[in-house]
Amino acid sequence: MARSRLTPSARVALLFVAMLFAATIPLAAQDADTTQADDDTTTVDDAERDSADLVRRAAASVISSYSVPDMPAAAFLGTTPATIARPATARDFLIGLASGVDEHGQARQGFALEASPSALVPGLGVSLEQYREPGITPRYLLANLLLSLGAARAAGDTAPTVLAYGLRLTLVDRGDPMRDPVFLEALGDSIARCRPRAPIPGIPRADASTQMNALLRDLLAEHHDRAVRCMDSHTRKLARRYARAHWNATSVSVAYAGGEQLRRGSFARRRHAGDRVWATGAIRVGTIAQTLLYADWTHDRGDAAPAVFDALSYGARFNVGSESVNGFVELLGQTRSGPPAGVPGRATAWSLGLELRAAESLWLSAGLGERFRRTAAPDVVAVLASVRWGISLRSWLSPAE
Amino acid sequence: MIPRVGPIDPAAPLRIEVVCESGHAVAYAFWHRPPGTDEWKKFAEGRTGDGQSDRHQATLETQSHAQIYYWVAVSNPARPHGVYHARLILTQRDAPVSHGSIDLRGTTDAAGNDSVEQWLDLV
Repeated sequence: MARSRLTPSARVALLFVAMLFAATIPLAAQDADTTQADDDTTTVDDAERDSADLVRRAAASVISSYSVPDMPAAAFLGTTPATIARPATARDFLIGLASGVDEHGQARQGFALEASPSALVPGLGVSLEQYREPGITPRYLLANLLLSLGAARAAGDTAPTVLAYGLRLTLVDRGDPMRDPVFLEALGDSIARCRPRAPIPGIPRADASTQMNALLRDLLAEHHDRAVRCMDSHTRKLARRYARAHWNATSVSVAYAGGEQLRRGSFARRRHAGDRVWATGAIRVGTIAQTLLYADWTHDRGDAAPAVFDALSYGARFNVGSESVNGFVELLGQTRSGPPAGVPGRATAWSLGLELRAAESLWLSAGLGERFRRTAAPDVVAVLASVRWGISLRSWLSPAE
Repeated sequence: MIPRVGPIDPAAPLRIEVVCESGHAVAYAFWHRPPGTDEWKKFAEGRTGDGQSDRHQATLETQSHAQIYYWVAVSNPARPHGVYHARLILTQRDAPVSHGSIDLRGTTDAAGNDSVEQWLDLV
């Protein structure tokens, strides 16, 4: 990464000036956590501010990582499945689907399944060569298409089961290591180092039909575990290094999830529960910066007409990362139709943070807003002029981590 | 049950291809044990990035009642818990050997890796 040419003292001075300037901006645009209340008197303005904070915090919680969910169906349900079936064949896929339905033909709670059409449908397999063909090819899109299904029931005996379905698609990823020949060579080399020295002992000769006995099965399992542990150790390091070096790569991903409410779990008594669409984009800016964009549209049918709403959460973030300076500026917002009385239909929140390496293992940081408070946890913190100041022994804002 | 592959024609070399159809990097190694012996001898190894294309190949002079032991590893750190599909294809004189197409399917671990090892009885 590029090294800043500023001297440590100049960096500190710059930090102070920037933070004091930011502190002069009206706090209404920021999150509430750095605001120091002068008294306990609640006014109409305070109530409005609290309601707006609710919306801002909702946006901040929706936009936690600037990435589309790994499993859109689970994100729609708001659950984290304990186990996810990932069928490797069309037969396994059908068995997996069947496992989502109980003996009475009703959707089973906690069911979660994720499948890749390119892995399941014969003839749609994508080899590494096809995957690496330049540009956005149909094979590349197919390989990056994931379908998901899930079912969950809200608390309460009479709550309906919701069956959710989703898809996730990566359109562009310039930081995809599997398209980088240098990475692939290193990866091939790494996993090849884990090959066993010799076959397992005790394999019977082939004069007659050889059978797998318990001892041989155990030896194979032991060999397998050793090889995979070795591969995990090598490839994790490799992938981490690659991700650090390509942290600001350009990428675009989209995802969709929809759901059906099944009364008493029955497919015959279903009604559409809603839809949710995610879109994220990352744009590389030079060698040390990146712009992130996020949009998340939710259409909730609710249980009755008054509960129907649409919400659009959006975010934009600019990250800077280098050996001596890290920082971000972020704007989050949410627009919601039919909000409850007293809650605004639209609210935005911004946050910023900056940290400088003053010396080896000594970072000075300053920032405003909820996101900064959540991200950075320095060893020493002080709130001064509505700005959170911190000193720590490690970097908290490095976007490459 | 251990796969029994063949009949093998001892007059023609046996070709083994490793093909991955799920976008994973691959590494492999093959050992051979002639009939009536206890010693395994490695006759091929390779990996993604070693100059071969997606279809890795090895050739062997062998006969009936010999055995082949294989180790095939797949990796895609960008896709943890991903489904993989690799195949071993045995041919002689450019024709498939009976029961000589072996599917290796599964799901990688949280780091995107898995390996399979097993032996084949040639008949």
